[in-house]
Amino acid sequence: MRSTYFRSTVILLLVVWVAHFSGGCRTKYETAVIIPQQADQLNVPGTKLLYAQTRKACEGVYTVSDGSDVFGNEIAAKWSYTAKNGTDTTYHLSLFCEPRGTFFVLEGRQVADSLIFVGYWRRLVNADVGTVTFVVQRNGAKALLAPDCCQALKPGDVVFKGKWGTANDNQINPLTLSFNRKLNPAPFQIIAHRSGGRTADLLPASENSVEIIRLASRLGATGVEFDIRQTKDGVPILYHDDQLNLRLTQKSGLIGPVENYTYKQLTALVRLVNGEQIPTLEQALTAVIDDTPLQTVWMDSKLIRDMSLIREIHKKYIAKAAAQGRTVNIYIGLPTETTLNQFEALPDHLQAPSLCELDTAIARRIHAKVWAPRFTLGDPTETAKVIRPQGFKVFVWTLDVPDFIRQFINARSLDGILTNYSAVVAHYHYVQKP
Amino acid sequence: MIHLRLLFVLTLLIAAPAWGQHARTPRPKRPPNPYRRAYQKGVFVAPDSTSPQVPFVYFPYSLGRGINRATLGATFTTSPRAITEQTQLDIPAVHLVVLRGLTDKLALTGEMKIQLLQNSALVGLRRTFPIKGRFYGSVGANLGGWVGLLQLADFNTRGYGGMGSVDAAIGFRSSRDLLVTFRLESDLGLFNRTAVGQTISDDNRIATNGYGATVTLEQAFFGRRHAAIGFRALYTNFNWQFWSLYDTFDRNIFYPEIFMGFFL
Repeated sequence: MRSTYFRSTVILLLVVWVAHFSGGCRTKYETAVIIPQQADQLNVPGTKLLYAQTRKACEGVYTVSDGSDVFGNEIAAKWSYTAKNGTDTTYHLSLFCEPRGTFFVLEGRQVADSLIFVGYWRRLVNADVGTVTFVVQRNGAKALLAPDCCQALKPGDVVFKGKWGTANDNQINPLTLSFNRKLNPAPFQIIAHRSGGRTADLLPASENSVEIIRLASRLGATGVEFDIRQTKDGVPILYHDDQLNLRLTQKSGLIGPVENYTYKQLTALVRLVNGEQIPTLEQALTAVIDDTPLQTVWMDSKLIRDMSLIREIHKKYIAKAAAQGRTVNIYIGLPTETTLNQFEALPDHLQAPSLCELDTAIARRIHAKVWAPRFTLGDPTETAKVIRPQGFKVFVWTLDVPDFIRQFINARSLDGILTNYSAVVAHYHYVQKP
Repeated sequence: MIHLRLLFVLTLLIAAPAWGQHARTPRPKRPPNPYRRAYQKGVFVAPDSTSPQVPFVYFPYSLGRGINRATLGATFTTSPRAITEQTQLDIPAVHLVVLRGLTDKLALTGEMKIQLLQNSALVGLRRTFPIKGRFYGSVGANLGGWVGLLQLADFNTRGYGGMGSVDAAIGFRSSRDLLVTFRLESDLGLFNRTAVGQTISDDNRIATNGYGATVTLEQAFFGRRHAAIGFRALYTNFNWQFWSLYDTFDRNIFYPEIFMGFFL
């Protein structure tokens, strides 16, 4: 009898242990990494916004001296902007490093005859995050602030002296960047997956939201990829998964496919994991054109019932971008035979800029602008050699492994890469010597 | 939901022996089990590794020199949603575990997981020692590798890698020959090489990939066939079974695994 009790206890403990390690009945998702804030050193009396020429001159490849063990030997610095209401524009200087998808996002000001840059850094592959402050003084600041600053800088002309800290520590670690050369000027599209980045990468905005579109260029993207579905009442929206789920949305009480609900229901009852609304395709395209410097939009047709409506929106926003003097290439993505058939049913499909994930013969047949093979098929150099002279661009998807990114870029056979790690692609592309 | 299912299956498997032994009457006469007799007399007898009555491969007890034990079964691992997102992949593998006694306290261990397109093997050494009463312990180290070849549909990928592990286990032998083993392990990644087409990626860092905990039950389930069942909770930033997904996260992810093996 005693052994029976003991055995029961052992079994009970085992069940409890298994339940504990299983994490209960529901998959738990990690929450977004909180970006640390520091005291506002930029919007104080005596600071001035940077001139456009100064910003432009800051861009380049910098050699890292102090801090290279953490951030790599070379960093690419590139400006981007986010506009609010078409007028209030904020400029960000992003630094793209090699190790572990590390990037910095900075804002800069002129203080007397120096420049100050304040911001944060983050590693995309994990949750490491921290703050940083750079100062450019003396000759470097003079070179950037002089009226003829847009003349080519020589190596060592500009030095960013910085201190960085982690989420918990003060800025006690030195980081010094010396200007080395200009960024690689070759045209190349860095296309951010899910409108800017995956929710799984713990970004501060949810995937396929307007907020992540506004963040994308700070992460290194020059373009974005959307996932398009249509609601019950036919509104094209951005949403990736087949079902409403806790991976993408907060608890709402709604279950099943987004296609089962009207747009009004989704707007009223569903919020993405970081609190945003599910955006319509039109809201997303408006954000790209009005608020960002993004140049490419890949509209991935996840589940489309009315391709002619998508095409109408497509045409409308191509015209809108053109009217604003923006160069934004918007492609209808065709991942499957089903979407291909829907697309080919359009009377003007041969004129519609499209992106074909299927084979090259189909890409030729539909006059696609882009052929986009999956990266797991290997480097498409040989095919690209044939198809690019015929006027096709070649993008690969969805490439995140740094080693492969570096080798694909060095092969110089691609026009763009779709990635979850825009910062990694940006680093390898911009530091590549022409 | 998969965790709920895992929990249900495990609870069922744990409860099944009791049900099998208590509810099925009358049972056919079997040869007397000397160990059970000993228990009934209130005397604890350590398992005799030379006896087929209480076979084990996980339980940390010494195996006589030259004695072999093996189980053949299956493991089931579910994919982490952080990597596969909405897609749920339940990957079964043929699971072979072997144990060969080298000395009274030292044994050679071997483990293979076979999924045809990707397979792994580990060999190692295990040293056992008694702790107290019905408790036994062991420490062990394993070395091995994995290989995968995925050349179908949109995949033209292949890869292989080296891995190792160190572990420590505590075993408890209850009445009715139930051998309960709790094992903690630390998994090491030695190197990985993967290729898409002709493009190769190497990772030569020797690093701790993660750690895991396993509970295993070994018994004659349903009063007949000796079997081992277990649950392994693995927190790691690399699981060879998902190499082809090219996960780039540098953080540990939870992989639950259940396994069952029948003694050969």
